[in-house]
Amino acid sequence: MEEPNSNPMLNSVILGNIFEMLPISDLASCRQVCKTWFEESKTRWRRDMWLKLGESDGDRSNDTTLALSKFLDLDENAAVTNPPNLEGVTFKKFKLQHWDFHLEKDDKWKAQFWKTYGPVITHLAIEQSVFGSREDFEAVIFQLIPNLQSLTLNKNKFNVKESQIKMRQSFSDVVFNANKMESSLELSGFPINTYNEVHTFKGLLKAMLNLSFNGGYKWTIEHLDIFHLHRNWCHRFEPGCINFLLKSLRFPLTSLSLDIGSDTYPSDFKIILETYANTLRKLVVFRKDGRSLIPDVSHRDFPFGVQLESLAELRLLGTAVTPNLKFMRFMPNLRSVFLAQETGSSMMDMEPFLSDSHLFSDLRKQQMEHQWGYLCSVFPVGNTDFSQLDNTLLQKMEEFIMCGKNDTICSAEQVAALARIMPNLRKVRVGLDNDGFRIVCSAWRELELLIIHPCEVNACGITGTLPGLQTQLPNLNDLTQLRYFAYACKGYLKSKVLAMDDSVVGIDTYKNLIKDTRAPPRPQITNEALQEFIQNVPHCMIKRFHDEDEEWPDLQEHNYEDDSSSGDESPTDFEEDMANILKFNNEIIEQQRRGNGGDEDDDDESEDVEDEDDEESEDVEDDDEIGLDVASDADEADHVHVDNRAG
Amino acid sequence: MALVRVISSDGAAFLVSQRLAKRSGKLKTEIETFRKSSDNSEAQPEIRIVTIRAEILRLVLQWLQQHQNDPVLPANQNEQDGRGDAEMGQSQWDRDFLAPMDLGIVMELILAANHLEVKGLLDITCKLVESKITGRTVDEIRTAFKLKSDFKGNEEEQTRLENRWCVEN
Repeated sequence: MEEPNSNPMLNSVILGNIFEMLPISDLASCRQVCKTWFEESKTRWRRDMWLKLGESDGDRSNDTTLALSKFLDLDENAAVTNPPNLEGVTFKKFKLQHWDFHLEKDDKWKAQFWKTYGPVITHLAIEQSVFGSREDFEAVIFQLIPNLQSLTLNKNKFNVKESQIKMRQSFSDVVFNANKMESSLELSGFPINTYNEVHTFKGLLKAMLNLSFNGGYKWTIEHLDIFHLHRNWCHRFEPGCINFLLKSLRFPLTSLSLDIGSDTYPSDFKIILETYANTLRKLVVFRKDGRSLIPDVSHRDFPFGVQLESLAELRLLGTAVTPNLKFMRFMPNLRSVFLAQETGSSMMDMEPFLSDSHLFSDLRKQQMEHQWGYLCSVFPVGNTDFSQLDNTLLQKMEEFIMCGKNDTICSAEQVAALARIMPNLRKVRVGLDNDGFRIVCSAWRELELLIIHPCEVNACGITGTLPGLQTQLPNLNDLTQLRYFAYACKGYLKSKVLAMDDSVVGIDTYKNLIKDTRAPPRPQITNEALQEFIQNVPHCMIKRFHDEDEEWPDLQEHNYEDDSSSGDESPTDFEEDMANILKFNNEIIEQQRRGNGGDEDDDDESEDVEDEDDEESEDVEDDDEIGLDVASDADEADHVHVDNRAG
Repeated sequence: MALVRVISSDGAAFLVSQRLAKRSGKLKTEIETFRKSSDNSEAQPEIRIVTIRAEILRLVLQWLQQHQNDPVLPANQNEQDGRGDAEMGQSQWDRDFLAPMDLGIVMELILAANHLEVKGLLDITCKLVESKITGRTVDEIRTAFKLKSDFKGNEEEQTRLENRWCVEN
C-alpha cells in the first residue's frame, strides 16, 4: 500500500488510470495542477498528442507552434547522446509545419532532430512545407524515419524541376524499410501534378509498385485513408491508373476511406471493391453530388455484384452512392451502417454515442470549407424494394444511422421490413410516425439509442395509448435499455412536432436515459409536469456528481494512516469492519432465503451463519467459519463465505 | 463447487466460488498458479492479498458478484469505444453502489481494482473521479482534491505553453 499520510490523488497508479480515461482537454488542465500530475500525465500526453514543430521562430511560427531549436533546448531527450535511448516518455507523433526540406543545406538543429527523433517517430504529418527536390522527399519518408507507421501530407509544395522522374533508377539505392509502414497511410491535399512524381498519390503508388516488382518488397498497409486526397472534392477517380495500381499492389487493406468522385464509372469503383473484397472490414465512401452512379446492365447498383464478406462497417456519405438498401444483400456481416447525406447540427449531440464519432464533424468541417450547399438527396428506404431483400438477414447489425436532408417518415411496413432484416439493432436513427414507432418498440427491444427524425410521433405514440382502446400498445416503456433518445432535434422545423402532454412524464424509460434531446415542450405540458420530468431524467452520472459536490467529504477528514496499514488498525475500527462484513453477509443470506430454497449443504452452512449472527456483537473474533449462499440466476450458485480469523 | 479462500490484509477470509474469483485477472492467475504447484487437485486455494483490507475487498467481491454474468471486457479496449461503453453500460446498480462512498474509499477501490485486474470496476471508479475533474479549471481541481501548486518560477507558464503546442489530431 502507498505511504501513509499521502494524498491518494498523488498516487501514480490512481493518476495513471484516471489520466488514461480523461478527455484530452481535461488532461490539459490536469497537467497544470502540480508537478506530480504533470509528470504522471506525460505517458498518455506524449503517446497520444501530436507536437507541432515549426522550423524557426520566424514570422510564420506563432505561439501554437514550437520552434525546433526551442524544442531541442527544452526536451530532456535531445540532450541524450548517441545512441538515443528514448524508451521512456517521448513524443512519437510530430506535425511539422512550415518546414523547408532542403536536406543538402547544413542545419545543425535539423540534423540533431532527425538523429534523435527520426528513429522514434511513428506518426508524421507534414504541412505547408516545401520540399527542395524529389530526393529530399524520399529521404525524409524513406530514410530518416525508419519506423514510420502513419504519414500525412497536407498542402505542401514541391520544387521539382524534372517533369519525368525515373523511378527505378532513383529508388534502387534508397534504403527503404517497407514493412514498418504498415498501420496507416493518410494523404491529403496532394498537388495534382504530372505523372510519375512520387509526391502525388499516384506517383507514390507507382514507386511502391516498382519496389515490389523490382525490389521484392511486400507492402503491409492495412489502413488507407485518401478521403481528402483532392483539394476540393473528387470529380473522377482516375480511371485505370489508380485502380490498376491499387489492384496490382494488393495491400492487405482492412479499412479504406475515399472520395470516389462524382463522375466515376461504376466499373472503376467495382475494380477497387473487387480488389479488397476479401479483406475489407471498413469502407468509407464519399461522393459529392453529380449524377447517380448510373447502373448499367452489367454493373448493377453499388456494390455492383461484389460480395463483401468481411465488411462490418460501411459509411456512405454525400449523395447518390446508392439509391436504396439493396447493397445489404452482399454484406452478410455488416455491424454498422451510416447513410449520411447531410452533416447538420442535428447530428452533433449524438455523435459521441456512435462508433465513428469524428466522421460527421470532419465532414462538416470540409463542407464549410468548400461552402457546399445542402447536398441533394435520395431516401434509400423509400426506394428499396424490400421483396428483393427477402432472404437477407443481418444478425450482427447493431447500428443503422440514416440522415438526409429530405428524409421522410418510414411507413409501418418499411420499419417492419427493416426490423426483419436487422433484428438485433441497438442504435438507430429513422423517421417515424406513431405506427412506425410502435413497430420499433415491439421489434427492437434492445435499443440503446433512438433518434426519430423526422418525427410525427405524439404523446399517444410515446405512451402507447389510443382513445377508446383499453389495451396498451407497444410504447417507449418497452425499450428498457434505452440510454439516448432524441426527436425533432432543434433547428429542424420540418417535423410536424409533436404535441406532448403530461402523460409522457410518467414514462419509466426516461429514468434510465443519460441523454435526452428534445424539442422545447409544447404548451400542452404543464410547468409542474415539466419540472417532474426534469427530475426524472437524471442525465449522466457526471452531471449528477457535479450537482452533489457538497456531499463529498473533506479529504482531510478521512484518515488514511489508519487505512493504509492493517497492523496498526485500532480494534474499534476493525470491529466495525467486521460488523459491516457480517451485515453484508446477512443481507445476502436474506436475499438467498427469499430467492432460493437451497440444497442441503447450503442449509447446513446457513445454520452456522445464524449461530454466528447471534454472537456477532460480542465476539467478532470467533474462529468459526461463517458460510452463506448467494442467490444467483446462474445454474451454479456462487458462494461468498466469510471466515473471520483475525486476532 | 470449487471454492477459493481470499484473505485480506487484515486477515478476513472470504470464501468465494472460483468461477466468481476468476473474473479478476489477478485471482485467476493466482488460482492457476496454485493448481500447477499443488499435487492435490481437490485442495482449496488460499490467496492472500496483502495490499487490500477487508472492507475494500468486500466491496470488490460485491461488485464482482453483481456483475458475474457480464461479458468480460477486453483489457486493451480501444479508448474511444471504451469510453462510450463505460458511459452506456453504467447501471443503476453501479450508481447506487458508488453513491455512498467517500473519495478515500473510491481511491482504495481504484487501487484494488487495478491490483486485482477488474477492468469494469476500475472503469466506473475512475469515471467517478473523472467526473470531479471534467470541465473544471485548474484551481477548481486543486481545491477538489486538496492539492497545492508546487511549480516554481515560470514552470507553470511552461506547462501551459507545452499544452498549446500539442494537438489531439
